[in-house]
Amino acid sequence: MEFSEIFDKLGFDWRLALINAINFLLFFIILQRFVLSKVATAIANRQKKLDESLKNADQLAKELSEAQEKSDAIIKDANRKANEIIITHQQEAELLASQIKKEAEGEATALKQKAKEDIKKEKETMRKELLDETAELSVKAAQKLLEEEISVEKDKKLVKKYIEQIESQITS
Amino acid sequence: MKKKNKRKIKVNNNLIITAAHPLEESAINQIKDMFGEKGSVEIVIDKSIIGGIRVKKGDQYFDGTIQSKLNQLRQQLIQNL
Repeated sequence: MEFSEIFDKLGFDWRLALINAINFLLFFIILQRFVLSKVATAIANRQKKLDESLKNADQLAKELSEAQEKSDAIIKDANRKANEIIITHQQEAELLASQIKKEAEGEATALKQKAKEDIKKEKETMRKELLDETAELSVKAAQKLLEEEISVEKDKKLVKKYIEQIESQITS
Repeated sequence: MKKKNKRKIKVNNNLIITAAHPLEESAINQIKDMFGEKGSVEIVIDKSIIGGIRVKKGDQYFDGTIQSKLNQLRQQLIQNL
């Protein structure tokens, strides 16, 4: 069996197929000429933009990473400075506290010393007052005794004795 | 005009004898002789001196009273106690 017979049985018309092939070829040429080239250009542009976007994204990611590093460095530096400030202030506070404590101890010592001196002075004053009072009382007692003891006669003897003393002082 | 206040300081040169009891005439004369006093003598009776005498003439001063001895005793007690 020949091909033409088989085609006939199948209803295939080669002339129609040829025309269809020519039509398809023409359609393909036109499509290639007016549509596919633009689509390819659009796809190329799109790819280019995509590449640029990806490149930009990489750049941005890189910048972000750098920014993150800078940020980390700044935060680290800030933390370090903050720690330094805290340590410095802590040292200053400790120094100040030490000075205040020293001054307070000095004041306390001075107060104690002053209190001791005051007590000593007070004791001395009391002792002196007591001695004065004792002396005064003793003299008053002696005075009272003498007032009772010194009679006119005894006084005459005293006067006589004292006149002799005055005489000896004048003559010497 | 300023008025000058001229003050005359009167120096009492009289013989002054202070005693706790009236003195005998002989004692007074003895004192007068010692100080060469020919005129009058001022006798002051002061019971507070207790006993003894105090004699003053001009700038001369003798204190032999019991009161002065007690004062001395008071000072000695204060110093020595």
